[in-house]
Amino acid sequence: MYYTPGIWFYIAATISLMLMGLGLYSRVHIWRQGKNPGPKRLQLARLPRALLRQVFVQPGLRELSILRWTIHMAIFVGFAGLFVQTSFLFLIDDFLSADSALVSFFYHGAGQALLDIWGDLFGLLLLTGLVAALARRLFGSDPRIEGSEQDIPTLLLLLLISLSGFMLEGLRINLDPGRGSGFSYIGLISAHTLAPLAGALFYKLILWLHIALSLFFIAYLPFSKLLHILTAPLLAAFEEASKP
Amino acid sequence: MTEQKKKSLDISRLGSRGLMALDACMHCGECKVWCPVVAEDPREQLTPRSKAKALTRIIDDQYGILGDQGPVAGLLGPKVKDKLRAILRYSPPSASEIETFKESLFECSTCGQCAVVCPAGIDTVELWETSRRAMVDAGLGPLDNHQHLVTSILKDDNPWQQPRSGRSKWARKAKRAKEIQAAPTEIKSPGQVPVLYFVGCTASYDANIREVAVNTVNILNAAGVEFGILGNKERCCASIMRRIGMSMFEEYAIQNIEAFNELGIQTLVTSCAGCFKTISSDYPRLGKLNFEVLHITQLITRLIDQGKLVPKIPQDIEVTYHDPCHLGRATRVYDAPRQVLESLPGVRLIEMERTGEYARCCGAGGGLKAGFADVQHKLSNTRVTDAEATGATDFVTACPFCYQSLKEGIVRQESRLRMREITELVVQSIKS
Repeated sequence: MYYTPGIWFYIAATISLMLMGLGLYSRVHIWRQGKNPGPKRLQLARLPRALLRQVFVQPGLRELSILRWTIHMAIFVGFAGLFVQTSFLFLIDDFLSADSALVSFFYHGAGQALLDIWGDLFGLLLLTGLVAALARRLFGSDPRIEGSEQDIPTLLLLLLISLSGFMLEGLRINLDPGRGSGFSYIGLISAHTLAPLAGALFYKLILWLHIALSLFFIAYLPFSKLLHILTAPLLAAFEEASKP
Repeated sequence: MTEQKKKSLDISRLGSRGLMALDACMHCGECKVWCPVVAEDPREQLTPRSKAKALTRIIDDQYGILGDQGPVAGLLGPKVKDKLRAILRYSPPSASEIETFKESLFECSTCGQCAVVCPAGIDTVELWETSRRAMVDAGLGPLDNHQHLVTSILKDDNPWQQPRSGRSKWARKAKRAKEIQAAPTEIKSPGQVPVLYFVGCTASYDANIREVAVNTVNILNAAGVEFGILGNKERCCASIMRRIGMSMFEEYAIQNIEAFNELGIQTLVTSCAGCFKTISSDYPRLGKLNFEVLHITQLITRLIDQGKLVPKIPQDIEVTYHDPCHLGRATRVYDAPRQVLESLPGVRLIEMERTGEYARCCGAGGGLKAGFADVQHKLSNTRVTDAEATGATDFVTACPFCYQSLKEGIVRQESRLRMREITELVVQSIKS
């Protein structure tokens, strides 16, 4: 079997979430300073549908450019899929006993294939979107692209999280060959590539790199342009649900 | 920290949605490629995204985690804050950054093109106007070039530095020149007429634009509309006050609303897109209007539909139509002017490449013309070039202020285009 991070992960995660909470609280504090109701009236009944549309369809960007929309959707869907998987695994790992039916299904039964395919699919989507977004910024001549000091480091951060995730999957396959991994195609490629490096220490190093980057991302989110992940669809939904 | 920096910005006017909008901006740059000002003055600081970023920085300095009015202001002592600032290498916005933001905020016609293309749906016009108000309230605006407009409105109720007593001179002159059959009725008592024609300052005072008022009167007379004007009692709608962030706008608006409501009218019609936007969209936020507000093109289409106005004299011209920002993007009146043009015999409409909600601004509005005349000239020149590309003979608009600016652009560009105001074409089609 391979190393699991234990208590240190929970301490780090708590700090990260607290920083995120503080950041979000500071943004909400600013929003709450606004006392002018503005010219538009929000129709609450229309908000849920508008929110779903803005989150999952992102019509504003789609109308402007199919290429940029595709890149953005690849990043969003890939990220969301991996987030759902990670959250799900966290829940069944920490809140269910090891011999429960659900844990058995996903760790020893047919559910393993589902997790493998899910992880590969969404990971690949995220990776493709990030590479395309980086390429557009590094090699494109679109005047919209900002000479921002934030954009490329942020994309690189996400790329590193994504790549280290695939590396972990490969290293896990190497360290635990008994675990079925027939459906983790990218994981198998990663396992094959990393075979010479496979070892408990290297795995531990990459795992902590992945954790550190992911937790940094969570803590950094409200203090950066990444905040638009939450605010842009919310605002667009407000605007959509306020149209006469 | 300079004296300017110390001034506190009251962000309450931006509203929660406006403040959230600053955090929703993803700096995608779509606004940059569409902004008509950036097209002529391509400095990044003028892009809506840069303005959003600069404003966020100013607000964060005051209301953010380490700000004096921040969420943990009471918990962290000044020494702790200074330590944290040093650790985070935080530098507050400098006086020059604030000055740059101020100039960028005002070097904008508030045309609303950025709002149309923003994928996050940010209502940038509301954001810029409320930000201007916050800046002005903090003593950081308006621009020196705007002061004469404010002084003139306060002194004479018009931005053109003309005496109040001369407001209805256009009607007397038109009567003498037999351009109109009779001077329009000046409303003296409530319920006297069902329709008020709100002439607006530009058509009232600019000798080259007064035709708009004359044509409107002739159209209303031809259709048998019972209407009146306020004559010298008409006051500026104060649109420019709102655009440049002056608090006096509210006083003007409230007084005008009371005056209009007391007239007992059913309809207020105006031939100025700026007055129309202000009265129909900005006034209702300050008081209830007991009447409908129409732009002259909306009333003309209604009169044509009712058979009260019959355009029949052919003109044989090809026209292209410029959507005024205040009539188009601001109030979404795109169809009425086109319906009017299509109803005129012998008038063929050719659309420009950028039209409707993507119409390029002529730069006349939002205080840009007064603040940055050279930039505004470039904007109207470019719009004239857009019109020339259609091959049309006549360039039509439905706003006296756009008309004035585009006409100047035609002269500067030595264009063969004839500048026309939509009411002029209607009169040409109905006069006997």
